[in-house]
Amino acid sequence: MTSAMTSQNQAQAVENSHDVIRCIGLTKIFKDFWMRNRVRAVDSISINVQRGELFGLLGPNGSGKSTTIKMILGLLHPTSGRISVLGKRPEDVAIKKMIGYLPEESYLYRFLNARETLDYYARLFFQNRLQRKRRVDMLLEMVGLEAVQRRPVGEYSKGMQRRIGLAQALINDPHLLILDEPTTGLDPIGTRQIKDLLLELKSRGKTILLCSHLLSDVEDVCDRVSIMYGGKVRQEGTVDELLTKQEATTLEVPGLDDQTIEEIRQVLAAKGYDISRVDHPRQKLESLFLDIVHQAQVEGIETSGARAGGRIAEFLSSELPTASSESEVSREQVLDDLVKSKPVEKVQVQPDQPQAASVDKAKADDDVLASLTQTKPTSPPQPKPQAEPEAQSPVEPDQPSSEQVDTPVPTQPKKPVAGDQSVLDDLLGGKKD
Amino acid sequence: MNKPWVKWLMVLIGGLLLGGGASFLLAKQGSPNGSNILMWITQAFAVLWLLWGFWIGRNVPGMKTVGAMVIATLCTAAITIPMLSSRSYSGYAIVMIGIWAMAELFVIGLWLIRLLLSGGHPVFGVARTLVDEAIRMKIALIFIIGVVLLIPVLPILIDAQERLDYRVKFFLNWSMGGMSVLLSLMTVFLVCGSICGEITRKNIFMTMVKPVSRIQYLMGKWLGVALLNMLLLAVSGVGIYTLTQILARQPVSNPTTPQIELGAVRYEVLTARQSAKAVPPDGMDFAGELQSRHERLRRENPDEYGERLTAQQRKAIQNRIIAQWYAIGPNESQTYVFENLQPAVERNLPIQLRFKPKMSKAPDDEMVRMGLWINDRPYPIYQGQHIPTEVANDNFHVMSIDPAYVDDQGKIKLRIQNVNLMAPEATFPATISFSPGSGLEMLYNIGSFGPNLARSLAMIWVRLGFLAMLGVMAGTFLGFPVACLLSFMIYFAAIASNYLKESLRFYAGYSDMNVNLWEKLVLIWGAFIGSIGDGKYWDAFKIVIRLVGEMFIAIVPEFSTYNPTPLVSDGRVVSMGMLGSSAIWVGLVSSGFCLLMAWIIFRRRELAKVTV
Repeated sequence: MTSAMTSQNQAQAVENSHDVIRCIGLTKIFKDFWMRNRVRAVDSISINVQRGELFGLLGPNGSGKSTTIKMILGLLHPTSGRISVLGKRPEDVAIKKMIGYLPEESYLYRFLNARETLDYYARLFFQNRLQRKRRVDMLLEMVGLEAVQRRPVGEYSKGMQRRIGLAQALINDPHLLILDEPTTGLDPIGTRQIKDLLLELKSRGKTILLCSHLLSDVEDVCDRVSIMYGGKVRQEGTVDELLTKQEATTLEVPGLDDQTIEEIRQVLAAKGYDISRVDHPRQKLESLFLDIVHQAQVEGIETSGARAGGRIAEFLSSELPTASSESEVSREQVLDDLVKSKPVEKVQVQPDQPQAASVDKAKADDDVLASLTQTKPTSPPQPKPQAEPEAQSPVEPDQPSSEQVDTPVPTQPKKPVAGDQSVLDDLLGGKKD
Repeated sequence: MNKPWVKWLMVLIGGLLLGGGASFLLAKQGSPNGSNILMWITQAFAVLWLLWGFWIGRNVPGMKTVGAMVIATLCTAAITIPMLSSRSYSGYAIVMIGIWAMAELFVIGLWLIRLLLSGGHPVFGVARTLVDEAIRMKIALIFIIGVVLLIPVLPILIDAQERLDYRVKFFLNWSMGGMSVLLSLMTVFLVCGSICGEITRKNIFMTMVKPVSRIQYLMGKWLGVALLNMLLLAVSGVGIYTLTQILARQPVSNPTTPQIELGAVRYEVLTARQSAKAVPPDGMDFAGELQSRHERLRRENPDEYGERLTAQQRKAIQNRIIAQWYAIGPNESQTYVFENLQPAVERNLPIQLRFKPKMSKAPDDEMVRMGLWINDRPYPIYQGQHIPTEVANDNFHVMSIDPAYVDDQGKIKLRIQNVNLMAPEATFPATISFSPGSGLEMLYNIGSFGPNLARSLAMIWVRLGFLAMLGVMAGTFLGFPVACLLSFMIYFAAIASNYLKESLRFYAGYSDMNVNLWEKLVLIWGAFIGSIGDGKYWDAFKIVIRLVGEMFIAIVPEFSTYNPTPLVSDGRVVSMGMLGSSAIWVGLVSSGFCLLMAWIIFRRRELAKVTV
């Protein structure tokens, strides 16, 4: 899929593709008043976003992310290259029924209030009055703007405008959701909600194209990312492929005393390893912030701004088969159980022989883990959850006192963390299905 | 029962029953003063409780608007009722009532429009948002307020010493003209502001990534402003009609002969009159006259006039014959026939002879003296004497003629004699002439004022519809100020197309009377080369300017044909035929052309394009 492909081959490739978005050799050059080529905003990029995928488009300001998105949406025409969105050309009005778009800024009508805004966008999808009312009510509740729904959008803070922008992007229950910097201007609650929402939507089979320069957002939720710079794609792959450090292993166990650490060090030393760092994990600022807001809400302190959002709007359909949905539920349950564990101490083990053969290394790792786990009383081994292939260690996920071994599996896409979501829902006073 | 509005209603009903009952009892017991006081207290309670009800229900959608309407009604009633009883302030009271009524009508109409646009369709969605934009953003609201204020305020600006029919005409002229101008401004500013603003502020991104085609977006914008115009025209129409009726009942300027002014108002202003133009009597042989003139010209100038006349030559000769037919030499007479006057007989309403005589050399007293005969009988006759008609030179005059003069074929034969006998020492022989067409006509009633006003408002709506489409087209490729300028330029060129044509003809001097397009092009080229050859570069430049101007005028619709305001103020009919013609040419052809251009420009436009 290179720019060297002939035009005919490109056309054939687009037609045969089952990708939701497929861009081949996409180039956009902006011209000046005299029609001279001035800025090559996008330079021969090829991207494909597959069905049900959460794809991240990452890059610094001016790297061509928004221009790419605008070409995908038909707001700009490519100078060269081809785009297929849901199998059609981006200008095709019919495909717009299946797309939800949140631009980098909320270009809303300042004179409409939140309800009127959503009602307007719902009309554009030929929705009747009852359908509009139902969806608008749900979305307002979901984004936490019920209390301020009669205020003109022009009076909203930036974060509140982002919320209403997100709600309008979901008004049609889209198959493809394109979000350009969705967390810009949002408070940590909103950011967290958006990330949880994206994971939830993904679990329902939606395809999501997320464009951001906030690395943590993309890292937390995306399956695959494309990193752009200067209008070109510099690197593309799954998040784990791009981020996992194969040469290091992290163990998380309950707090250990110095003597135990020393014993572990000796066991590892016997196998030829050395511990490079021992420390205690810190609580993330996000968690602290959410705790404070939760406390304020418990105390009933009034706010004129956005409230905590509610549950996800019911009309947002699931595009996965029922079996998959059940599987998701069971996996969520497992994850939920897993995150009920107590705070653990993080131990990072640094191998002193990184050049060892991978097979021998894996065997050695197993030996180390086995010897480590034998040092503490454990329950009999439990069958590992079918839906969680990453739980390859003999640790028991349902035992809070047991140790967790976090061995990243590069090819496994991220899943919605039900435990996190339930905590959030509890924190925000929202209801969860 | 726990709902607040139920409690509120119970208190209201209870209070009214209690107060009303007690007042009734007091009246029965012979205490009218106590009864009246109690009734006032009860009414005051009801008003206050009503206001309280609006306050507690202020968060209910629409309640604020209803509350504001009720409060406005109460305030208007409280202020105007005492003023109406005072003669010196009753005019102001009428103005206030007019403003109140038009504002309330506008609010109700706005609800209806919103209801009409409540369907789930992109065109309705875009249209409704435009309506919301109009009433919530200052740009259009100023003009809406202007329209609502203009019409009720106009009557107090009219000089009360003026003749009553002139007052009514003045009001009609200025209210309709002012309203047209304000709505034209609003239309252009609103539609250009909306489209250009959405592109500049990028609101359009959010709309165009939804399943909305470009043509639907443009049609939505047009529909929104067209409905708003319709509402404002309807509200203004009600205001104009009501205030006209009130004005027509005002005291006349000359109380000694009130019937003259009242009759003029009734039969010449608040009516719908058809015009009958003069035709030659049966015996007159136009074709023979044309033939004889052709033969004479051919003898005099055989090189120019061949065996067959060209269309231009025929038209020129015909124009000369008609002009001569409308001219009456000294002591000569001419007969004119007016046809199709049966409606006047059926309605038994007077016919008006409207004429503007012009003397080739006016006497010192600037008076024209004529003898009139209707159906070969002297007219008018006073005490058995035929009274010569003596009127001011070069002015329009109206004479009322009894419909009984109309014969069985629906005709009136008018003979005019040029008599200079009244002041022989001060006068000398001179020709009296009338402009062909409007210089001599008979007007007869065929309808009433109300429907005529409605048709004229519909015609204004069609024109505004064209203007809206023009604004839509300009907004698709220009920025706000330039789009407004272009729209106004085309619009005013359309309104003044006839005047501009004449002006351009005088601006650069070459005669193009009675030539076809090819001959005209040859003529222009010859004049241009001639000017350059003579070193008259400025004249050559003016010829180019005229050519550009004429090309521009050729593509704009001729609005002067479809201007109903002077017709309505002159009591002339705006016929369904005229309305239909304007709907086809202005509403469909011209507006359709603008829509087509807008679509061609807009369909492939890159909305997020950046020029670096």
